[in-house]
Amino acid sequence: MEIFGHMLQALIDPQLVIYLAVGVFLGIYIGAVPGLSVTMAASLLISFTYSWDVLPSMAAMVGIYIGGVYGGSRSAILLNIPGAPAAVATALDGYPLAKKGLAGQAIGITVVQSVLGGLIGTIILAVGAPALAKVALTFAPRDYFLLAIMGLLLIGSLGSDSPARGVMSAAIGIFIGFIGMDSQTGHMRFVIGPSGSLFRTYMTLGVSYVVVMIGLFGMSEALMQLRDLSVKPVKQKVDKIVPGWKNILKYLPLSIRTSLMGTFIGALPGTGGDIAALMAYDHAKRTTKDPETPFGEGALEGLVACESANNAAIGGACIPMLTLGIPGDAVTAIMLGAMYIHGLNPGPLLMKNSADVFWYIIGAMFVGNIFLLIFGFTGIKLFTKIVEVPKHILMPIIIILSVVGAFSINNNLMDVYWMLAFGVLGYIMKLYHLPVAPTILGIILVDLIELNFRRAAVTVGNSITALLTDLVSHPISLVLLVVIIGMSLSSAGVFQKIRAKFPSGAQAKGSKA
Amino acid sequence: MNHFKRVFALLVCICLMAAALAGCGGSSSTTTASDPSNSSSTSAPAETTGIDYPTKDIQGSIMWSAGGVCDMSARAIGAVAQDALGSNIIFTNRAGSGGAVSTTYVNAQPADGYELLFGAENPQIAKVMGTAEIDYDDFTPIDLYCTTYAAVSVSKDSPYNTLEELMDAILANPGKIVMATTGAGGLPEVVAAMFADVVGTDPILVPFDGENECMTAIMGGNADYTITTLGSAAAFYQSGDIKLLSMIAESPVEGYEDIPIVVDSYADFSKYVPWGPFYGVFVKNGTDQAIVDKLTDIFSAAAEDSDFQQLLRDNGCFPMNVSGDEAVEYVKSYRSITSWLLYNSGATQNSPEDFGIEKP
Repeated sequence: MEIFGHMLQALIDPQLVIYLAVGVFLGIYIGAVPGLSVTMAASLLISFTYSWDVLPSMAAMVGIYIGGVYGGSRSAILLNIPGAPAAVATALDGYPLAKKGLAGQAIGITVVQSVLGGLIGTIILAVGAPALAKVALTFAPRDYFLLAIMGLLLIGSLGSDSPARGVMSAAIGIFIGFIGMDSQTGHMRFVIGPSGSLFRTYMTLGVSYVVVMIGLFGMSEALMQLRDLSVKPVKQKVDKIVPGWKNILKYLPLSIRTSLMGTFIGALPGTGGDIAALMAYDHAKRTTKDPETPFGEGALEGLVACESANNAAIGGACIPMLTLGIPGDAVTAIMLGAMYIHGLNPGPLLMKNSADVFWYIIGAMFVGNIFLLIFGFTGIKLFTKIVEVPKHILMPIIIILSVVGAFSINNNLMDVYWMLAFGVLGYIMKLYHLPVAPTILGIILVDLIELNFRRAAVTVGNSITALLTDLVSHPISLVLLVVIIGMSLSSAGVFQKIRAKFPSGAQAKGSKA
Repeated sequence: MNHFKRVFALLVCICLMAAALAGCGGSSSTTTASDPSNSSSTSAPAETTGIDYPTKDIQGSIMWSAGGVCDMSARAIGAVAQDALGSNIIFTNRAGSGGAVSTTYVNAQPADGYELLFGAENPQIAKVMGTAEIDYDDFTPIDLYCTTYAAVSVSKDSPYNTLEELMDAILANPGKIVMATTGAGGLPEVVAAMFADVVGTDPILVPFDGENECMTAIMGGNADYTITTLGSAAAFYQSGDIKLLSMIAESPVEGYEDIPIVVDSYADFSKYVPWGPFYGVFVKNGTDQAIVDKLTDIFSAAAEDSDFQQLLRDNGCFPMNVSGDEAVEYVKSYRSITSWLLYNSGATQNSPEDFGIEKP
């Protein structure tokens, strides 16, 4: 009963409701600006909240978090520029919809699916947090390694008709991911520049994948579009924005599956909404037998999957944060910092010692999602107008936002130079029809794959046989291994022919993590 | 027409880019530019009161990202100090390369007292680890306000109940016992090197992303033990999820008096303790001594603030208040002990001698 009292506070305390609502609102619009991310919004907010009480500052944080993760999808749909890494997959089918003049409808679906995913994630957080946290803890380095390998198999799904081009693009990403100091041994990899220079110091740290993302998507997209200014912007239809019940019910089974995936992947301390969204997208692509529109050309299933998954990952990421004091992603790390400053002791004792805060956060997540449903439908007409702005005005603005976004990550001008370089790289890649999404995937996954493989190998004394034994003797590893083998086989040409002969079965067995 | 549009778009791009770049990079140049005017217009009172500082907002660069002890302690002491200074401290997290991003940044700014560096011990091993060419030699410590201890922890289900049991198990099972670390040059590996020297233990070192991940690794059964700062272990110890086997300290630690100290188990350890991370505020060398003195007075007073000290204790950290020559010595001695330890244990091939770091 007390629990509901704490949760209800999110609904009845007017001050908290206002902070939460403002947070969601700002989150949506900050997240929607290409280059400005929810992580940045949260780290800006944290300095304001020091002088506030605990609950108001948590309210604002939760609001920004929920709104920001959703907001990233808007620029992905309208401009093909994801507002955050978690929205990379959204651009794959969202942007083709905008090109057809259906941006309003696409945004409507992302709102509903984000709210659905957010609510499912929150319910799991409220009901199963301690139990799920225990499972997440037992994820060993070898399991993260397998999970990341599974992620690598997604390259085939990421918007290219040529798998070879996808692999090439991912290889570029993996190479970029290697640059910098090896965090395990301190060795330098591909670090160049005069010693003592800011440039070398920067390379030592490695290139932030947000910088790469802003360059490859924002900057290069602007350059690409400036090539041909004569293309008339597509007139957007904005009459049927709110998706009907029929539409929601039709995709409900898919959204529930991808929300569960999103929650679990978010709950793992090493992975977050970005990977969750990509895996969900892949899952949708594998399990949808005949989409009305093919994937990559505006399939609604693609939007449904990644938007429900990345918002469900919020609830997931809060599980290790609230039960163990371990951040599930960058935003939860900032929230933890805020808790410390307010004299709370986040960690295993939070649920016991500060039950009010614990349950308030969960309550705020429920209410925040309701605000998302309301505010998500604001400004759609205005936003879709962006697409109709003449390109010789819009594209320079996007370039500016890319510069500002890159600078604001660490207030480091070096990030801007690198972003510009990646903008040119992305431009060249696009000229040669190399998809850029696999590059981002490569950068996100390379650390997971490499570091965890080395951890797993070192743990068993660098013995290959011992490592292989580990992979098949632990239940989680075994399941992941079987899924990977299944995924690889199902993509192989031979098996697709066999499957064509047996229309049903085998299909659904895909990528359920 | 189309040609015109293209040229126009290009021009707009170039202008806006130039404006944005100037806006981004210009903050430092505008600060320096405003200095002469400040000092000329206010030179008269400056002579009467000694110094006229601060006359504008002060920038604070935090070496680690938001959320950790470095960030938390810097913002908390900054909040106390800025009231006494009568000027805001505007904090920016400039994380990366074990602190080198912040040290390089502040070192590139003018030594006028308006750029403070809030840092931890990490730059003191940057030279031997090869991550950066500058360390605290290039900075003047204002105040070291926080320290903590390293602690040996195991999961609550671990068969080991004392440090000796754990160490004996490592000696008896070579290549079997796994210790979670934070990678080359991190605190866990430094303390592991101390144990290698004193006890002769050689566990398998598995590097994780950070100390929190080390705690997760032992709780999830993916490592047998870990050695982290007390700050990372305290909450899990209080909740009963882990056992603390030993404190790397020379005398019992306040609030943790029932945890055995390492010198009671291995007397030879006394050559390494007291040793622990520190957090402090620094300015670039060459800053006016009067400004250094004023900052030192203000931050030393702030370090005594009871709310600030309580915040540190709540997070497994301990207030300290070391400034002036004592702080210079403290920082130097940390570098000497740690650099040589890393070199002797083979964690790095760069000899501390090459950087003029004397033996402890």
